[in-house]
Amino acid sequence: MSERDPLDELLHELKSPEPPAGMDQRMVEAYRSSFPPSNLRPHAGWQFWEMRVSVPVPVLLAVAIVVAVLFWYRSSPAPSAAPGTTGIVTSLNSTGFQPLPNGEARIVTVKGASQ
Amino acid sequence: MQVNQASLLEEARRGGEEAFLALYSQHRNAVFRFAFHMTGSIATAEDVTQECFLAMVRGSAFDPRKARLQAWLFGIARHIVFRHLRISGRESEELEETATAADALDELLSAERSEMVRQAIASLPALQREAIILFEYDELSLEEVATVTGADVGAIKARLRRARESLRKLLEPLLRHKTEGSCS
Repeated sequence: MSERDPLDELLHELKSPEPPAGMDQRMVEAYRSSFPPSNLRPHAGWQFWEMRVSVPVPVLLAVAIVVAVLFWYRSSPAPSAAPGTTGIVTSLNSTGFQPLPNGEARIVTVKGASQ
Repeated sequence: MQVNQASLLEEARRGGEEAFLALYSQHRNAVFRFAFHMTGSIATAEDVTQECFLAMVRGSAFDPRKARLQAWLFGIARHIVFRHLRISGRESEELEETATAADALDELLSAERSEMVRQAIASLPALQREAIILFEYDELSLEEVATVTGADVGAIKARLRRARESLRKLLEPLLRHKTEGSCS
């Protein structure tokens, strides 16, 4: 078997100094100054108000464009029938229903529907 | 174990002092020892330790699947140590600081041999020094040392080999005495 290197034994004779007295206390104080103690924070719902969401800029832009288009579409006035023209209604009454030949449409005016 | 440490870290980042203290007490000696042997100064080692643990709770996310928390902490400590070394100046000035620190440490270091080993390690170039400390004293694997230092395993092996060659020369009198002692 390989012989143990005396250098290894010598290296492990190295002793390290203990951390200085007071280091722990200074560490705790530094931590407390960075992070307020948790018992000072309101527990209920705290995490909810601290939640963050990161959104990539292209996604944010795409959402903004979609919202803008929807807003513009909703805010534009609906086309209304020109004044003086007669309205066109669809009769929902099935009385006297007669199927039309395939593809043929029949327009019934308001006047015709009321008769 | 690592997952537990990761959850402790998350708690500490939310202000959980107990979780922070659990992590601190578990790793402070290793970080302090590393910082001390790298800088040769107890005061600087304390500064590095403090900065390291504050960076731990303020810093980027720790992934327990990629590294042990201790290795991750050494990565932070290393970054701070090298910043201190840059501030403290050239390597020669660093050695002077080591000599001064050695005077103050006489009471703490019980054996002359230990002191000679420490001085020999302190005289190594910084990259070799950190490799030997992390590998020999903090018992990190070659892969972990490579991760901490941002080098590849081959480079770490080369640094360790050069460090051991230098230490063998520097500690020649002690080694000879040890060999003679074991032969007689």
